[in-house]
Amino acid sequence: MKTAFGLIFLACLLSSATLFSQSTNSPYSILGIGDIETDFYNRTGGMANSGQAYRSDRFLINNNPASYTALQKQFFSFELAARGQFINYSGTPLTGTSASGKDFAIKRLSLGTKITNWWGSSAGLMPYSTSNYLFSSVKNIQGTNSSVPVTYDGSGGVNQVYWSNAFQPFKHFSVGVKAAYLFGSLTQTENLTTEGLSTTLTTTRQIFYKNFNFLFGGQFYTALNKKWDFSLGGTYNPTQKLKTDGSVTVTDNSSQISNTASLANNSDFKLPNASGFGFSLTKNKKYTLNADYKYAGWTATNYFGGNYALRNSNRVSVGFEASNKVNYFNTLYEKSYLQAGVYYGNSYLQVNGQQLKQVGLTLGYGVNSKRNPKLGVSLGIDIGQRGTTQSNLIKENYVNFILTVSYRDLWNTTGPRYF
Amino acid sequence: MRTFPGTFSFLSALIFSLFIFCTGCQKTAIQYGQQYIDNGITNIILVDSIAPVVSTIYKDSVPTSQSGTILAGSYSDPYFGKTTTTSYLQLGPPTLTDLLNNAQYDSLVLLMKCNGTFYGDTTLPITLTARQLQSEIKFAENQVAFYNIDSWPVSSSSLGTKSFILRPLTGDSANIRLSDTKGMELYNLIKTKSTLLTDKNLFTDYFKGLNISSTTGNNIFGFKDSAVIRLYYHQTDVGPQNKYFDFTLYNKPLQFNQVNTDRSGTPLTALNSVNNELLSTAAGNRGYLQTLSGLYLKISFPSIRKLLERSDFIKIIRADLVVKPIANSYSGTYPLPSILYAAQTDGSNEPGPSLSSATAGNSFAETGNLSIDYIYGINTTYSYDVTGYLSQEITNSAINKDGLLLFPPADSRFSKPNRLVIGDAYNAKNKLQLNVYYISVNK
Repeated sequence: MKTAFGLIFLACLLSSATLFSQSTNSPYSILGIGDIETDFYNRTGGMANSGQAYRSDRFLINNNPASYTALQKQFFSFELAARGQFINYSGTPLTGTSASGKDFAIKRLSLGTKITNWWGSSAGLMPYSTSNYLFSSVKNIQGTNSSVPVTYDGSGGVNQVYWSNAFQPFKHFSVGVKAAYLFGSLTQTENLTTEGLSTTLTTTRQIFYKNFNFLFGGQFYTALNKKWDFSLGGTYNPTQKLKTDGSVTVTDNSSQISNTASLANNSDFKLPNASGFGFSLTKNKKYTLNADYKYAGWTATNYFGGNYALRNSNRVSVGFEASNKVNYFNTLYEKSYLQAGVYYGNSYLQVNGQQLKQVGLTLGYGVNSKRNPKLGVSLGIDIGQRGTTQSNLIKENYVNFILTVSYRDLWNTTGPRYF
Repeated sequence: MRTFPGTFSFLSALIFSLFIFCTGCQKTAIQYGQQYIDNGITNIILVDSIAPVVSTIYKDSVPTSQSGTILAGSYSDPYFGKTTTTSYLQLGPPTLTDLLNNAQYDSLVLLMKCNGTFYGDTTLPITLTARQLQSEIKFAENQVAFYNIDSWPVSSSSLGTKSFILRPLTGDSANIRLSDTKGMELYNLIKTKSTLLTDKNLFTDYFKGLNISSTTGNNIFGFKDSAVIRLYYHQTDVGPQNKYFDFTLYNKPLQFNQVNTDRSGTPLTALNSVNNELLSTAAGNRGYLQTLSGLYLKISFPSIRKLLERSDFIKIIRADLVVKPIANSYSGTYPLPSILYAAQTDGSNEPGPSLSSATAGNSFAETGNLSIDYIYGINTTYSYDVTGYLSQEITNSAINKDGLLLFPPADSRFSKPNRLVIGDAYNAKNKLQLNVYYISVNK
């Protein structure tokens, strides 16, 4: 029972953190449903999130739902990941100056276990997209030549709660499906203050999104020989519409003066067909090379605005990992690991005729506690940039620190404990 | 079942510390994305097409007694016609002292000091005439005031008359030499210490009062009600002595000013006690105010509820009423009322609660904030914040005759002849403006 209470408490903390901890301005998140997460905030973080074919007996690899059959039986795992971000913006819209911001957000909470020899399962909660922006402007008083200052503050995002199941129908092959329920809202707040008219108008427009989303995956894995292991993996995410609803609340000097509970003219947001595949090559169970390619058909969603449109995105990444393992009672026990990776891709946003590119380098280090073998901690660093300063756009240079804490214990068993 | 040992505490502490870290994070403002904002939901919209209705309200009598001002004179102007003021007052007997046997009467003079009130061309002379009243000024039973239309029988012969050029703003005085016959009569009463002088009631029955009027038509002057009739005499004691006795104003509530008007040739002739409201549209798109002669301005807003027909209308956040006097209708010779209150009224056209605004938590009556355009004259304005009033009126669905009544403050309302002519919403040059700012929400 203590475990259950503990998990509920942590889940509550996580949901609060997800809601309240985002403070970095991400100017492009004003478009669409915000910045759609491309990271998995798991062990593959140090390898540029290359993990379509990656399998782990201890860590929850949510890149591909087919991976959970690799989990060690009789154990359950709990993982919590958080990201700290330092970001610098540059570009013409900033009138020649640069700006910076910092942010912290809990990004993933997940549990996983292997239920039978052929069935692994994991459930979790993590953001699907986040929206965060703030800028000031002026608004004309209609009927006059006067304007009043106004600020626009965007926040919120779409979260996903998911349950993934992986099955191993026969040796060397697993399939999996992640059933996710996407839910959340994007909030845009317009604050208009004018002392001359003694009013502070706040218009809060909230768009709610919800629907199920499924990700299918498969992995093929085999030992090539005594030294080499090899696996292939792929995922497919069919197109899906996010059902939307909206509300607008207007307050004047903190008194609500208008509330439209349901907006009729919201069109559903369409998620595209997306797929990815990759391979993983491991030598001596210690050195692993991962490579992924991912693609999403955003162009077919036909989503566009004044001078922007969503375009097919792609991303290629390569990661390498060196694991420090020792043989402990005829079982390999991992003490620590080092990772490195690079990624490059075209994001789904095309603004002012430029499809935003994203490129970066990742490093990772993880350690499994000697004093408490149930506990593992990893720290990943992601140094990258998105966008460009051309075409009146903004370039983001960022450094992300990803902290992942994993805990595992025996799952409801009376058998002997080795760790 | 296995439990979380110290790890849970570790994780909790970690998350808590990260929360603390988060509270220090501030979102950076990035000037990007304005073009993607749907900023059309909420707006502030100015509407200046709501036409207030202007009318001139005629009150057939206004109280002019105990105003503290003696008004005398007359003037003519193209907007109001001719306005004539005459004052009535009652004097009391002097404090008696013994006269020496060698005392001799010198003169009898009416002394009046200007109080700064004037209207008309003060560079031209005014001829003032003092006459004795034929009967004692008295209130009728239950009467508490005299009105601008009241008068009192006046002797046909004058006690004295004189022409002056007065400088009202420098405290000039009007001194009128009165009849020596009357002077000797009073002197003898003093010398004999007549009971007519020792009993005030007997004196007011004897000297029933004074009327001060003017026969010239150039201007009107206001005098302090400390006017006296001074009887000068001289006598020789150790040396020669020049002395006097003062007959001072007595019974101030009985002092009043009669105001006669001749509106011939103006639209105001249409006004009388039956037809007591003149719409500006029937008066050359003008409204008139001269409270001393019973003319008030009324501005009403019967079409304000049309705002409710706008689907986006939420509430009025500001409403300014800008009243513009007709250019060239005022000058240094014919000054505007410096303060013009606005009071709520209804079909009775009686003033109700004053329009007030709050500044720094204090409520004060709106005074019109007169701003004079000395150069072109077209931007002279009285302005009022009518936000609260219109926010209240827009909720009134009943057919009504509500409006705002404009008038000067009490200390000058019935003691100064200042007048005002304004344009209505259709006046070409001096247009009455109502600027209503409202919150618009497009749903």
